[in-house]
Amino acid sequence: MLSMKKIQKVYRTDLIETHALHDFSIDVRTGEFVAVMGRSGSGKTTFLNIAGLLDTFDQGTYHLDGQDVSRLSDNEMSKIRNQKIGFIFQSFNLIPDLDVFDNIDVPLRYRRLPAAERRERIEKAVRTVGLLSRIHHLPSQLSGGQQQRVAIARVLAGDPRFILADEPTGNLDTMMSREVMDLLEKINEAGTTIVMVTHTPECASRASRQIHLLDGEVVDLNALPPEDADRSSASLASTLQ
Amino acid sequence: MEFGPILRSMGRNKVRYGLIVVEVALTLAIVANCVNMIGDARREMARPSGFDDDNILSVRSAPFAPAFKEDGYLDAALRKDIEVLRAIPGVHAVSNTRFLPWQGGGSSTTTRVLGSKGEMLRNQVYNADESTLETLGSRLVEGRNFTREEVESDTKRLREVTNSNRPRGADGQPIDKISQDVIISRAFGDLLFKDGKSLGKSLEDDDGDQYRIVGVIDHFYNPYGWPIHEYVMFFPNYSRSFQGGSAYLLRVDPGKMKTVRPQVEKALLAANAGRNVQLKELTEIKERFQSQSALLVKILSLVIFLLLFVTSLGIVGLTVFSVAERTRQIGTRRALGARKLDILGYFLLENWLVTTMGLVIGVALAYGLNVALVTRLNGTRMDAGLVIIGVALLWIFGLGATYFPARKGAAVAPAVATRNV
Ligand SMILES: Nc1ncnc2c1ncn2[C@@H]1O[C@H](COP(=O)(O)OP(=O)(O)OP(=O)(O)O)[C@@H](O)[C@H]1O
Ligand SMILES: [Mg+2]
Repeated sequence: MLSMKKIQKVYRTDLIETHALHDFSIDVRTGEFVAVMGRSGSGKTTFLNIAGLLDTFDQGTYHLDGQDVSRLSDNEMSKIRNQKIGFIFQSFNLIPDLDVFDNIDVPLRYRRLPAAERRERIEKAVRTVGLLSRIHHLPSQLSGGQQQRVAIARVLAGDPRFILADEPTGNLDTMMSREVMDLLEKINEAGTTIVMVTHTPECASRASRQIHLLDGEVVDLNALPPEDADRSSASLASTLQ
Repeated sequence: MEFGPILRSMGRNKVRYGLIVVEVALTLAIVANCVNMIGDARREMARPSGFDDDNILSVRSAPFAPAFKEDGYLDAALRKDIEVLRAIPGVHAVSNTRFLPWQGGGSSTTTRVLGSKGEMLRNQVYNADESTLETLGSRLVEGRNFTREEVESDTKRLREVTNSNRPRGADGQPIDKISQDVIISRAFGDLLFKDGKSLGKSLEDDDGDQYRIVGVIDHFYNPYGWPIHEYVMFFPNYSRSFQGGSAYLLRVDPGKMKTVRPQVEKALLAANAGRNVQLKELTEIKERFQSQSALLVKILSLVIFLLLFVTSLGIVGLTVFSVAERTRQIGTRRALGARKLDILGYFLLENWLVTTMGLVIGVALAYGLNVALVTRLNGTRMDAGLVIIGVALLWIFGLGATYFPARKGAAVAPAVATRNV
C-alpha cells in the first residue's frame, strides 16, 4: 500500500537545517492499522505530511498504492489527496463558516461529483458517525468529539484507499477519544488502511502494529539485536517517560 | 462552481461583506454621476453662443460727475458715446444694452402666452437698441428689428411709467397696462407655442403688461443658473442711469480688437471726462466663465480617481484580510484536494459576488442620484452606456484588486493543515 525507501527531509531556515527524516524507510500493507509513536520533534508529522503528499522530500522513493509518487506535479498530488487519501487532524480542521453538510461536501466538490451523489454520500457518512440530527449545525455549535466525528464523516464520504490521522484524539477527553477510536477501528475492519500518529499508548494498542520514531528514524524494536533493543527501549522509555 | 457554500458562508459574515457591497454601490453611483456631470460641463463649454464672441468688446461707463444726475444730460451723453464709438476705425457696430454674454447670469422675468392661464415661464430679458442684433451677430429669421424711433419713444414711455407710481387695482396689478414690442429667440417661441408660430402673438407678465412678438432670432445661448439658457426676450430701450452707468457692446471687424481696444477709453474720456471706463473682451469673460467648468471637470475627475482608488484598496484589504485569516482553512482545503487554481478561483468568485451585489444596488443608486440631480440642478439624464461602462470598470477593478492577494492565498502550503499552533 505504502512504501518509503530511504527518505530524506531537511527543513532549511535562514539559521538552521533540521534533518526531520533521514534514511527513513517504512512499508505499510493494505488493510493494516499502524500507530506511529515517538517523542515530540521526532518527525511523526513530517512523515505524515510526506505520506499524505502534503509535502515534498529531498531524497528517496515513495510508492503509494503501487504508483511512484516521488516526483509529481502540484496538481497531480492534489488529485491523489482528493481521491485516495483521507485526513484526520488533531484540531479537526473544519471550516468554521460552513455547516456540517457543506464541510463534508468540500472534498466531494473538488472531485466534481454530481450533486445527487454528493448528497447521498454525505447523508450516509453523517449517519455512520451518528450526527444526522446535527447536519445543519456549524462547527462552533458542536463539541470537540462531535467535530472530530464530522471530520471522520468527511473522510468516509470520500471513500479513500487509506487514512492518515495526526493525533486524532489529541484534543479530546477519554470518553470522546474512545468513540473516535471505535469509529477508526470499524473503518479499518471494513478494509481501509490507517496510519495514525498518537501519543497515548491506549490508542496505540488499538492498532495492529506500532512503530516508533526517534530523531527522524524508525526504531524497530523487534528487528534490533536484544542488547540494542534494550538500549533503544531504554532511551525510548526515557524520552517517553 | 461553489456558489452555494460561498453565499452561505458570506451570509454568516454579513457586516464584513456588506460594507464592501455598500462601498462598491456608492462608488458606482457617484462615479457614474460624476462622469455624467463632466459630460454636461464639456458639452456646455463646447456650445456656441450664436454671437460673434471673438470680436465683441464690453464697455462700461460709470459716471461720477454730478452733471450725469440730470436726465437730459445723460441722454445726450449716451448719444454722444455711441457716436464717438462708431467713429473709431475698425468698429463694425455699437449697441447700448445691459446684455453681456458668458457671465454665467443675467436678468430674467416670467411670462406666459397672453390669456392662456398657463404657468408662468422664466426667460432672460434684456434691453436692446436698433443695433443690438447686428452687434451680437444674431440673425433675425422672422419679423423685424427695432427701429431707432421706436427705441427712443419706448425709452421715453418706459421712463414715464416707472417714474409715476403706477396706480394698482384690487387684484394688485397696475390699472393701466402697457404693451411693448419684443424680439425673442426661436427656442423661446417653440417653448411658448407648440406649433412654433410666435410672430405677432403676445405674452403677459405678472403685472398683466403685454409683450407683442415682432421679431425672432435663430440662435441664442447664454449660460444661466436656471435652465433658460436659450430663452430670451429683448425689449427696445436705452438703458443708462447715474448709479448704473451705461453699458455698450462693440463689435469690431475681424482681427481689429488689438487696434480698437486702446482707442476706446481715450475716445470716451475725450467726449466726456466725468466717468470711469471699464473694458472687457468677450473672450476674457467667456474664458473666466468656462474656467469654472474646467475646474469642475478637474475636481470631478479627481473624485472619480480617488473613489476608484479607495474602493480598490477596500477590496484589496478585504482579500488580504480573508486570506490571512483563512490560512489554516486554505491549507485544509489544499489537503482535501483543492488545486492552487481552485483556491484562486474561490477568492475571485467570492469577491466577484460581493462586487456584483454592490453593482446591482449601485445601478439603482446611480439612476436615483441622477434623477435627483436632474430635477434640482438641471443636469442631463444618465446615459445607459455610462452605467454599463461603470459596471465593467468596477468589475475589472474588483477582480484586479482581488487577484494579487488571492494568489498569495493560493500559495499557502498544504502542510499548513497539520501544523498545530
Ligand atoms: N516547517 C518547518 N520548518 C522548519 N522545521 C520544521 C518544520 N516542520 C517541522 N520542523 C522540524 O522538524 C522536526 C520534526 O518535526 P515534526 O513536526 O515532524 O515532529 P512531530 O514528531 O510531529 O512532533 P510533535 O509530537 O510535537 O507533533 C522538528 O525538529 C521540527 O522543529
Ligand atoms: Mg506532530
